[in-house]
Amino acid sequence: MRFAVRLAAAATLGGGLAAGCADFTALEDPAFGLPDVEVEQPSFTSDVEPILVKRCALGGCHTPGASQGGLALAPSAAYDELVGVPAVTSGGPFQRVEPGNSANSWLVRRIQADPAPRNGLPRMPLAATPLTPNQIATIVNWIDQGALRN
Amino acid sequence: MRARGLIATLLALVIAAPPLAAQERAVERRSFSDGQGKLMAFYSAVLTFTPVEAPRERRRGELAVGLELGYVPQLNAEQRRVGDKPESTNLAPVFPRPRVSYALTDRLAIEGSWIPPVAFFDVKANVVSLAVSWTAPVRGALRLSPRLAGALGSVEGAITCFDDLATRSPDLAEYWGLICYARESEDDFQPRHLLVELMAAWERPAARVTPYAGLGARGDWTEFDIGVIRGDGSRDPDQPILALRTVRPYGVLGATWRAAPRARATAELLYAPGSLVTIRLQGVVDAIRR
Repeated sequence: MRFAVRLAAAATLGGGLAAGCADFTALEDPAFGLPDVEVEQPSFTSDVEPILVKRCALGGCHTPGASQGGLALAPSAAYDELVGVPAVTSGGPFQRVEPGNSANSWLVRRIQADPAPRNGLPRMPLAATPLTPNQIATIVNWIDQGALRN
Repeated sequence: MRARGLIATLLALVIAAPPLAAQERAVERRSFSDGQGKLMAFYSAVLTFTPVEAPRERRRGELAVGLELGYVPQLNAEQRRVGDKPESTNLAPVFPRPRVSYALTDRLAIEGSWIPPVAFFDVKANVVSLAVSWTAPVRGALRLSPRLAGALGSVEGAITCFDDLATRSPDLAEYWGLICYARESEDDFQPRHLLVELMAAWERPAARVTPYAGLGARGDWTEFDIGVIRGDGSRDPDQPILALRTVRPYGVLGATWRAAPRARATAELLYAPGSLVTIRLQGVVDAIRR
């Protein structure tokens, strides 16, 4: 019995030192709680603005307080900050959102994986999980359909 | 009477009003299912105030002092990643916790601990823990001990913004410059948890080693204050405070060795599912013995 107790104590100590570890993998939801589907005919209010607010209007980024690159994407202000507004950080003749032309919209260029259209600038959201392909496609569809305030 | 009313009003205002900083900052709720919530739960679990000693009957008035050393498992890059950005959380591999216990009666004991605000590795903690336990023989050598404990405090370190970000990749360098203002952050992890646990020990008078085991639940009200520091030295009010509210189970397995009539040593294995497995060691000396 005494031997068994000592053995248990030694196993506890040895096992603890050997097995001391974290018991989790920090898997992040790539859609950040938003629906991960491509919306064919998106509404700005229901489908696009929630993506921008949830993924871009974060502390230190595109909130009214931080307004990085002069862009604040708070609810109710996001549309006016984007559509038809010159993209000052693009170094080119781009608008943040050019209605009917997603390929020339700086917003789309900055969130896509290909670095060439964004002139090698970091992909947005900066140092964060990228938007899902479905979320990007939803934004592209909204712009190509005229970037309506709907 | 008037003065008493004024004091009561002032007290009510102090209790009801949240701190000024908290009024200006957004509080984001995190759950155990997301990456940041798991990170917070991990560090809360590290500080779980388990007994790190087999429950035992004492004599009223007995006082014991001890020093606990807890191993903090190091997290890999994936576990420390939030988005594409690493968090600098591997700041200390071990934490020391001085402890004291006092027997109010032969069966009822209180325990306390304070980690003073002294820089240790790259963190400065200031954490108070308290516990009350009741221990009684059940049958033969079996002792049962229900225990209620809690921890409260602050652990400060540069977790969100650290100067290594400037050299890792162009994206992180831009993050360091734009979001971090090229300054290390003064983040404040604030563990606040309550434990309810039941310990069982097999204590035979002739044996020098007493094995024990226990199960418990930890209720967390833990917060992480993202302390990005602006160019003028002030805290960036745009950064939120993350709040974790969860209840998590845990279990312990340990053995206490009576090294001398007044000295004991304990090794304890703590398992908090979804957070960690770790080992704690404690040396205890009876300062007052009846």
